[in-house]
Amino acid sequence: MIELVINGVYILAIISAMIFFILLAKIIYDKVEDYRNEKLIAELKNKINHYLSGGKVDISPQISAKKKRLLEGILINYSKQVRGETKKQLQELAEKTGVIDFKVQHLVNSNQWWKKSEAAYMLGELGSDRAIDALLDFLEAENSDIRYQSALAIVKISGSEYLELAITKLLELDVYPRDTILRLIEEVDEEIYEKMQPLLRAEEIEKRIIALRSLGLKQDFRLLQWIKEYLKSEDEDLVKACLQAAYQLGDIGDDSYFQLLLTTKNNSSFQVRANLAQVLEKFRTEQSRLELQELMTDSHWKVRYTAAESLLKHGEKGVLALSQQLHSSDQFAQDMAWQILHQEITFDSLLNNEELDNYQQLIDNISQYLEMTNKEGVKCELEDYLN
Amino acid sequence: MNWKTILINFINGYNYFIIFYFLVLNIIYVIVLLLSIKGLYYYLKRSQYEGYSDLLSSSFLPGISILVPCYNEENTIVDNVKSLLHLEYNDTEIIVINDGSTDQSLEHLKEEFNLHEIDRVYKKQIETQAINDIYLSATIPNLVVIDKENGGKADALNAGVNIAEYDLVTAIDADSILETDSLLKVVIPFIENPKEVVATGGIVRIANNSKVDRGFMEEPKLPKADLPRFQVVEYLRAFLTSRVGWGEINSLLIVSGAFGVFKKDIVAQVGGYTAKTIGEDMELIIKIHRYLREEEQDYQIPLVSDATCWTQGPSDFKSFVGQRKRWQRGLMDSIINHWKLLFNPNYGTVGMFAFPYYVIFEMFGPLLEFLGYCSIGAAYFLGILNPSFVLIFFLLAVLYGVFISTSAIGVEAYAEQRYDSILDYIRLFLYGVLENFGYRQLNTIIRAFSLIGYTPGSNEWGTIDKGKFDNDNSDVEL
Repeated sequence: MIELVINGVYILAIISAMIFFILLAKIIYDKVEDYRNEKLIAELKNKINHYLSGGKVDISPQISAKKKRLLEGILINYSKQVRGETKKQLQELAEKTGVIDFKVQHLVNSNQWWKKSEAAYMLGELGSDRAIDALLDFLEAENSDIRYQSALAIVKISGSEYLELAITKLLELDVYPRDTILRLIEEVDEEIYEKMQPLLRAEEIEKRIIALRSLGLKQDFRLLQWIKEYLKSEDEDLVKACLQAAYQLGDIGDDSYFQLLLTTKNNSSFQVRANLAQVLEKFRTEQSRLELQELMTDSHWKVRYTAAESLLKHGEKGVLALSQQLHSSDQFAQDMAWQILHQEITFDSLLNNEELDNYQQLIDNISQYLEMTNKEGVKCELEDYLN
Repeated sequence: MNWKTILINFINGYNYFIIFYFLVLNIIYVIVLLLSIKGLYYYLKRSQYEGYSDLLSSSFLPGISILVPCYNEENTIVDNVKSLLHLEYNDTEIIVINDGSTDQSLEHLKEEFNLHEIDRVYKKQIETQAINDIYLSATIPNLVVIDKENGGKADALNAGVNIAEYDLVTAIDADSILETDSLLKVVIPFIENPKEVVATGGIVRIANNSKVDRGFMEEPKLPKADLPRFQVVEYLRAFLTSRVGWGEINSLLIVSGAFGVFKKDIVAQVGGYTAKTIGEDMELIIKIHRYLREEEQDYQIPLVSDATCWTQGPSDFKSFVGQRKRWQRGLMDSIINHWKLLFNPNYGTVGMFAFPYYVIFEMFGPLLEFLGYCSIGAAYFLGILNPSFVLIFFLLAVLYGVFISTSAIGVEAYAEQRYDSILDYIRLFLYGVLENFGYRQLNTIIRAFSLIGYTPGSNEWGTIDKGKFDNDNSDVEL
């Protein structure tokens, strides 16, 4: 037994000492490398700046792998800070110095999934068309990280050109959350309606939702026909996506559309009703306010809360409507209305704005409420204001 | 057989048991260490293409309510809130819950942030002590301060959950400072797997003597005093070589109360933080594991190894003892409340591995180790002590401790390298050796006596004076 323990002591002593010295060596190596890299980075930056100011490329494509890695890091940092012509110059430089080919090789030849994913990410950041063909191949990758990073890179490089293909390939794998795919579409600056049409028409609900949400964010009014069509769907997620898109589009002055939106008022899902309350924020009409007042008495707090917030955004008429809720038979509606009004009184000097159309009515509603609820402190504040 | 023979047999038997116990414990340590290294390796590789800046500017980044429970934190609360206001995160709401502080915490907040009392709807999803007032700031639109009757940290957090507007909530101790990108990092698992991830945790590190400027970690430094230095090594070991590993098999039982993110719904579903315990962080995580396993739902609770929160470790002996007693009592509260999980295959890896580990090695471990020291004394008096064996065994135990600590420091140096100076790493290694001669035994004794003197059902706040974050890198004020 003792011998076993003694051997254990030796082994542990050796391992601990080894870890310590390796650790020390690693830290020292890192420090030395940082120091060396600083010089190299400064040199490379000078050369990049020289190129950007119209000089010749002074970096050979034959530079070491280490230098290429540093160069790609600098180019990516620069790319994130610039746009337009300068960005194009950086892409050209990345091509001329062999950085793009270097990364494509990593993407194609590496055996490690994370190296491939990293290479795809870098190619997307560098933004050169030369990488597109290689990246397209990896839209079929089994590894979800490689596939997503390739899709993201393609979208960053080519905008909407391969967008539909990228989304379709991502959805095939069924591992990406919806918002992750929407985040990818967010990268496209140009208009995407044409590319999204096949998705809007698709059988799969998920594709329709993604198309609705992304086009909504782009505030593309061609979406209206699809919203009108899919609002009638029985799929809760699809209806929610319609309402989210409708919120982005706002009031288009079409009463039949408004009435169609209101059909979701009695939807069994509180999330749909909350979405409706949010959409109504954009419709600054009397009917919209009446609907919101009704939604303030909904059975779910989230709907009531959203309705109250939407009313506030209707400006002075919304505030007046909220003040009417102070006398609602629904306790929560009362409390919610008071929460928002109290906040407005405290921070936005609502009561100092005597030019409001219904100022006196507003004051009366609030005074009666304060009287009724014995909120002495606020009542005194109010009286101070009014005097 | 006389009493002496019985005693000798008993001591011999116990010594064999301790050797076996030591072996099993260390095998577990190595397995968890290897799991941690694997987890960290892949995490680091993936973080190279995470695209943090893209995420930050995305409209799909979920909003988060930051809960800051506060009880007599007048020294740190304002700095803490200021640091939270500058986190790299777009959509946050900061909710400070003043749990009946008897010092000037609330007054400092009122003065600094121009707070105004507001009648606000309070959804009492979880029962809490009475709310006195709710304040909003005239200068910071996303700051809410709740003033409530004292009910303990868990009760304060529940009040925060009740009022939180966002679907994600994070609890951050008022005496802690987040790194600016920590919140984003710890939220990423929720973005990548919104259906399954229900909670995430970050790494907590000791900030004593680090350079902190207006609530920001300017330059991490090793503490100057011995006690906090030992804690630096201990925290590195606990997080980087233990919790990361447990997280890898989805059996993380503690997401530190100093920095964890939760889905608000799941917190409400399990009844919120448990008020009658001082280990509310562990209790909540176990409740979540238990609830979701009973509901047969797929879920994940990962630990994000480079999302860092800095906290002040106790630097005087009295505070240190108080902290360790509270930790041990919190651990025991949770274990007793969820005894059903022990070796219960219905709870998967949690029931079969993590929970038994915490019961056998974390709860009873200190007592068994303490009795081991006693049995050495008894063996000496009975004349059956083999000094060379004891010495070598002690050396083995020390070296094992050194091995684990060195591995933790090595992992830190490989993965993060937060300290600039090589000397700091040499010092850390030295303290990783020294902690086996006194610090570890001290911890064992404190925890063993906490186990013996355990009384359940307390919801008090810890009264550890951790001092104020210092801006000139001098010693922590106590």
